[in-house]
Amino acid sequence: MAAVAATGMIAAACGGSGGSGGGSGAGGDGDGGAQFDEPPDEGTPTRGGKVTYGLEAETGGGWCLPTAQLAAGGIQVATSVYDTLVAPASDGAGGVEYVPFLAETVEPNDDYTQWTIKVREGITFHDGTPLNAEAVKLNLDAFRGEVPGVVGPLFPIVFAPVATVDVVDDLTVTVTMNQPWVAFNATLWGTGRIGMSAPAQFASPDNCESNLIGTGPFRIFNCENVDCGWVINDRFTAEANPDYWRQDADGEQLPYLDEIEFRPVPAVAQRVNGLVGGDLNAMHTSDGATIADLRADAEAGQVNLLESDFAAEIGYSMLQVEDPPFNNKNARKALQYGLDADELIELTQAGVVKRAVQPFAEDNLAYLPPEEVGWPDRDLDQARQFLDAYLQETGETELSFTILTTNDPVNLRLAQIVQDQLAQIGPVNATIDQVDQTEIINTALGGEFGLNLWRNHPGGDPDTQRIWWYSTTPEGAPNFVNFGRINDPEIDRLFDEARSEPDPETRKEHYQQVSKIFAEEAYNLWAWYTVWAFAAADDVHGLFPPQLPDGQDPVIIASVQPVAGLWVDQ
Amino acid sequence: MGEEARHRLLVWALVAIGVVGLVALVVVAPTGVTVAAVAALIAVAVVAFAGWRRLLQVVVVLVLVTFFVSVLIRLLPGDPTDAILGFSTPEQRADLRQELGLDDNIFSQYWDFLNDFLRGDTNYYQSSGQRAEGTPVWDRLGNALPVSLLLMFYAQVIALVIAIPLGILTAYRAGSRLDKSVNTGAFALIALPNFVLAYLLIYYLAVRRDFFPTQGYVPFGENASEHFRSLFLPALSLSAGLIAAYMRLLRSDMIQTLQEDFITMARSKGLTTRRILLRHALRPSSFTLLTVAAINLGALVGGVVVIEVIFQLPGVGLLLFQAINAKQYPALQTMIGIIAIVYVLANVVVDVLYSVLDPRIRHARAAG
Amino acid sequence: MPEQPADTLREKAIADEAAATDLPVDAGIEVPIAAVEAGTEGVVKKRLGFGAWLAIGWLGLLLLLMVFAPLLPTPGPRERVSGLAFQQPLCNASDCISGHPLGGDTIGRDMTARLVYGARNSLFIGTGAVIVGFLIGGFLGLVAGYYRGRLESFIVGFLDVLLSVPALILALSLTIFLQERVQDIVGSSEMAGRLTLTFALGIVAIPSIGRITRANTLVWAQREFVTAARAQGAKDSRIMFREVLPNVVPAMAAIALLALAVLIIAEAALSILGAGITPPAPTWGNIIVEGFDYLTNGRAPHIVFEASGAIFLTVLAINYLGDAIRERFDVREARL
Repeated sequence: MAAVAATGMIAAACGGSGGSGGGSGAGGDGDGGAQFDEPPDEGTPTRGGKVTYGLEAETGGGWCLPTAQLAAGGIQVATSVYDTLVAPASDGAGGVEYVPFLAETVEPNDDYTQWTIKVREGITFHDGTPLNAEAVKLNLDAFRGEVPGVVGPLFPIVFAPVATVDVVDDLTVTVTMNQPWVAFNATLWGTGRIGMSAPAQFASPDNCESNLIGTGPFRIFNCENVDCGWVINDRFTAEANPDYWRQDADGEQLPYLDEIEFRPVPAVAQRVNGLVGGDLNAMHTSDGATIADLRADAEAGQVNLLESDFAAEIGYSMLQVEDPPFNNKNARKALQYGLDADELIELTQAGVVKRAVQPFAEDNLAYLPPEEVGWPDRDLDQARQFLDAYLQETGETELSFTILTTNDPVNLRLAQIVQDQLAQIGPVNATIDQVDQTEIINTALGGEFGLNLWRNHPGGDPDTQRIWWYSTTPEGAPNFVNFGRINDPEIDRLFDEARSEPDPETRKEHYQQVSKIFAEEAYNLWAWYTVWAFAAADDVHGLFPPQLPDGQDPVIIASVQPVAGLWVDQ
Repeated sequence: MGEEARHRLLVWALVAIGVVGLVALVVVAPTGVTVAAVAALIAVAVVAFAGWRRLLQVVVVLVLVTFFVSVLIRLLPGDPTDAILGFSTPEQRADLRQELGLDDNIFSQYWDFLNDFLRGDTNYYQSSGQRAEGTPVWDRLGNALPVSLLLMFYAQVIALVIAIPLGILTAYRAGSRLDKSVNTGAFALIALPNFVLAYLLIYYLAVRRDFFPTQGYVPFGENASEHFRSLFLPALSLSAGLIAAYMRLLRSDMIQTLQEDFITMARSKGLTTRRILLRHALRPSSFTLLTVAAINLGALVGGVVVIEVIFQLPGVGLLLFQAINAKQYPALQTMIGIIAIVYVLANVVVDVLYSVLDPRIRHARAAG
Repeated sequence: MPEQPADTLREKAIADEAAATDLPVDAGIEVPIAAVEAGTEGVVKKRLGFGAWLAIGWLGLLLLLMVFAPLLPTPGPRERVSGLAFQQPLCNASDCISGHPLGGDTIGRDMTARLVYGARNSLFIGTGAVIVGFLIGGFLGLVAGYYRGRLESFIVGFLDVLLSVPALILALSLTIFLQERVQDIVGSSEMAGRLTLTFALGIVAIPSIGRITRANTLVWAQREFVTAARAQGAKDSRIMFREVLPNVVPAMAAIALLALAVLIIAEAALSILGAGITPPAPTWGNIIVEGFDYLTNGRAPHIVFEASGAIFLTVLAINYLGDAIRERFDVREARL
């Protein structure tokens, strides 16, 4: 029972003047940049207890990290079982920098053609094997697609600029690039997806996806006190790793909990019910309407709440621009002028989120003030003109396409409002295609949609977004991870140059140019910056992660919430 | 001991042995052996009590049902492996096609399906995009089945607990105001779909007041009182239609029985009303109850699926629902097949039990 | 009593019980056990009571609304009204929009319009399914009951197999596996959804309708006028369709109504299971599904309750009416 009064803690990056922030008011008026505030003092953590964490979705494909297609739910689980070589931290100037985490040092050479990674000494995987240079090399090679049996569709393309990974000594590897890669360390974090797995996990590819062996604060391998394991669509239960390599600022061994259990609860209303009813004592959500409710609950002292809109993802409508109708620019422009993102924000996100007109958040180095991006205001007449132009050009009588969405009620509602808004432009016939969350990445990969309600692109460095919009793989094959099939040579060129450009100002300009191209071509219809909220029962604390090993302040980006610091009142 | 009593004793002894043996098997033996043993037991019972013809009938129905299920996947247009595996290499899809027997003709596909099915080798394909591996459906069904069975069991219990007293009461007071209003209530209850009742219960007892959880399941082993709390509203929703059915049937049955001679005689002997009602009138009606219970099995199965989805109880219904959402067609086939087979066998068992227990049938058989 | 078809010992016993207790009992799709007017067992009512007129009134109102839907003084069923979302029914407060007595749905569409057009879809599907069931099942039952013998056994066996899968599971599997193929044929996904559901539910209704038709046919096919007609050399098909069928039809009318009620509920159940029609096309079932989250969070329970209420009242009315008709035409003999 909570002896300590519940705190409605909100650490949002808000208040551009660096004020005390924490504004729980409606409308999300904070500027979304700047520092995190000092987390409130929740007292001394107590040991023991269990957190049952409600996730947005199940991860059908499991956690063979080099091959997995992890979404928010999957990344959260991965964060508890694996660690990444680097982690995001506040750079002290309102932005993010990627500091060594599992690694002790991550250093580029002068022209960014070689990066040297040295891991900390004495870290072991859950199966007792050491985290050493050999293991790091194996992992990086696996992500590159060089390890048979665990070759994925996404990461080989992401890590294409890597030429070789070489072991220098027991703890050090050098990563040699075939082109200068300025922001390689951002990719090394990969929004929490580039965790280090034990070699044993890759040794038997057949069960790699369910045989998770990492270095993280929780383990499912050889559990002693807890009935660990993954029952799909039910639960993922892990016990505390007694040999975890981190301590808190006072030298106390992490994690504090005995056990953590993740439950996929796709319907957000049900997730909240679970939290309120006691089935769950922690959950995450990016649904604005729900966050508004949670804020009220936090004010009333019923839940503990942590929000993050730092280096936020963008919620947007992705258009498939390779096939009709959206290979036609007039069709795209019609939607760009006709979609009412402000109304969407008001109706579906309770005004919690802020409008986005570019794919980069305010704390991203490429952020451009909205008025400079060139995104048009909503104009139904203009939209109608573009629509008419499309109809004339193609001889069609209506603009006809499918809207792809997950089959939960929240997104279905959004899809219907979008459908209705677009119908107001003129003869627009959009049919809704509902696909389960576990399936939707596959459907997107196949390009089977006209308009896809999507959410992606978190992070502080735009270099990590290259994979989503670049037209080809390094071998020249089509890049299917570019779901919208954008094939814009200018965007390709800008990303290529920026990747190797050492001057930060020039890099920034390249990426800002990308934003302007998006505004002109309307490949994607940016709507809002996602806010992620992490809510917990009033006796669960430590939502804000502990200090990083070298003393830096961590930042939470998107849905990746480190769980090592969670604790429960005893 | 009379002929009849001895017969009955024999039957119950056999049943007891069967049950004990079954439990032992389930605990000790691997799935395949248990399934085979159960099948054999049922087959023997059917032949013993209903003849070879009936057994043949059952087998034919089973074959046809499994054939229908195995063919379902061919109804999908295009390449089903597309939907199942999604983004994957052509080799993986070809492998899957091979495994599902889609390239063969219908009959060899059916044969493969049956083989896999009987051996318990039924896969649940993940759409990892990389491999066509999966976890066996049996495992997941094994976890889910107890939840569904418990739910059905509780629903029946609740229905009986409410219906029997009501049935007796209204039979005793046939024609009275009470009788009429209860009848009207029952009529309305039949028209009320179980999910509508569920919504009402959820809103008034779980949302407005906090008496029960809105969704979720707690196993008995984890917390007994929470377990009952989590299953109460679902079981109550399911029981609605049953209550009405049982009550009405019991009522009319008892009205008839109460008019019979032996009741008048008992009354003249001075037996109390209560004794007459409970011991002499109720007993013959229990067969009818059993009958109606069995008939409603189909409705109950459908109801269980819907209620599990509404309350998010991890039973077979929810499993089905999730497989549908995730387009796991092979797993879906297997689940549907298993449900159908169990349903057929359950009906057969009830049939046999009925003919064994009902004195009228037994007498008819003995006479003819 | 003419020979009842007794497929199993149990069913024979059921038939006897049913006959004795004046209740229709069906082993297939769950035709609801109808009300027996209290205290009047065994008496066949010849006049429609007050309740039946209420039922007719509701159904009539529903029919009127459905037919004249476009003329209703409400916005269209897909029209979003700004600010109407989640508005409570009969809302008087200052920030409520007047003219929407049943309130607004999750997106801001008028509930009255949604429900009326939803009725159109739900009843289209239900009626269509009943028709499919009758066309196929009725035909099979007629043939089986008339010809008897081998053909009858075969047909009964086929119906039995269909009955072997629990009704909802059968409907679900057919809907899931057929949906895409139908869409390929028809093109529009909305129409495809409706047709698939109609067809799937129709197939599920076939066995019960088939059996009841057969039972009724048996009764009539053995009457003297049929034997006479046959003796005069009339063709079988002529006898079946000209002599037997017209007598079977009135009895079947009641069954048709009762089946419709069941299928309306079944459509809603399939929607809950995710196999229904995708919005924005409204059906009573998918209105319920859309509104469910707002029932559990208490914000807008009226959405679920209004659609549920519509289903309940309609099913109640149909049951009552079907029952009244059944009693009037005294089909007691024809059960099972």
